[in-house]
Amino acid sequence: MEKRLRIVRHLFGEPLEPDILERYLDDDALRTEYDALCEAKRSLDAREAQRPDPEILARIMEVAGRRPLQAVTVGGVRWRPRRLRLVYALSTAAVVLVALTAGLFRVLLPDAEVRSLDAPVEQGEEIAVMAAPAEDGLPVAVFDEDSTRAEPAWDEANDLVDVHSRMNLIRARSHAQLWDESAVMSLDSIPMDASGLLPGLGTVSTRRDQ
Amino acid sequence: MHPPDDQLVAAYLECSDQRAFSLLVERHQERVYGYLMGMVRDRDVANDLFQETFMRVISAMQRKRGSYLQQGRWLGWVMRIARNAALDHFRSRKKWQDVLDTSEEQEVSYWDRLEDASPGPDEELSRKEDRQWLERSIARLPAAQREVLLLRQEAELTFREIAELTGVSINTALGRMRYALLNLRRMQDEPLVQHGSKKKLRTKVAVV
Repeated sequence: MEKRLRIVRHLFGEPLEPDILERYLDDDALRTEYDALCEAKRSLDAREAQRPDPEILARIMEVAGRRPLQAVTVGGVRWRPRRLRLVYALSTAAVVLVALTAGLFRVLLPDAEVRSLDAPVEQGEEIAVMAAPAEDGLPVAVFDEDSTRAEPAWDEANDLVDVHSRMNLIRARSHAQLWDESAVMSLDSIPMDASGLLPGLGTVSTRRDQ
Repeated sequence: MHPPDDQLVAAYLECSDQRAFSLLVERHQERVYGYLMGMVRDRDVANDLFQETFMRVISAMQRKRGSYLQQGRWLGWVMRIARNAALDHFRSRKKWQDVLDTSEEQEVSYWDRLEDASPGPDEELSRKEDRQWLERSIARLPAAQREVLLLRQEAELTFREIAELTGVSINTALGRMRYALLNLRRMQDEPLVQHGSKKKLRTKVAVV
């Protein structure tokens, strides 16, 4: 069977050494089959090639050209795949660069964070310290050891605001209890009676020089 | 100069070069269409399947998805799509009888039936062109043999590619081709035996 399959391979263009083929054809059965196979193959080779209708080809070409390969138009510029790939590569490089910069910043940040409470803190620096990224991506405030014992400088402002607002609240509540008069009345403001004395008040002492 | 398929494929994929795709289709249209025509034996259906095949090809190449990974021959990939389109057609029309039955025993039994049937093709041969006769002979082949014959003779795939495409061993593909050729040869002899017009019909076959 192997010989017969090799003959088939030979018929379809795979080289077979001539002496091997001759040896095969010494066998009458193989020669008969070889002749039959050759005749059938010749008839197949003589077939005319068949082609699809021209309008089918035209339709295929129209579709092939109608939908460009992932090309997009941005700002009037036609971005083809190769250019898009370049943009993707540059974008990726930029993202990596930003990530590396952030990592480097984080490594250098602890030295910058330890600051004296006496040192003036600028608003921009406060934001930078507060926005130091945590591992879960949320911003956290970073304290040094001293800052855990004393109120951080940036916290005083809140306290002042808090006290101020509480004062305002107390004042507003007190205001409702006023009678448009002072709680302690001066003696001059009390009207006298006909005898020239203040009502309800008596002389409790006289001057020694009188 | 004839740029290789890979170069044309790359030009179409990378630069949307429509001319490159046009060259590919022009280069391989006879192979694909010859295979489809041999399978369905109807020009209109073959045209539809040819168009369907290349619509799938374009879609897959434009999205860069699907089975094409720029590995192996482009034609082999296209033929796989063409074969699937043909199978879908047969399935939809419930005409696909035994192309998926790959057992050699089935082929032999089919061959036995073919001999017993003896539809008298000599009368048809005497009236019609040699080419039509050959097409009918190919059509009478067992489906598995016919497919291997068309993939090798029309699409010019290698036996290795045919084996991969049809899911059989190379020796099985070779064996089917051998049976196909022998069966065609026997069909050539059929009318000679029946009507004794041996000389005339031998001449016809030789011309074909």
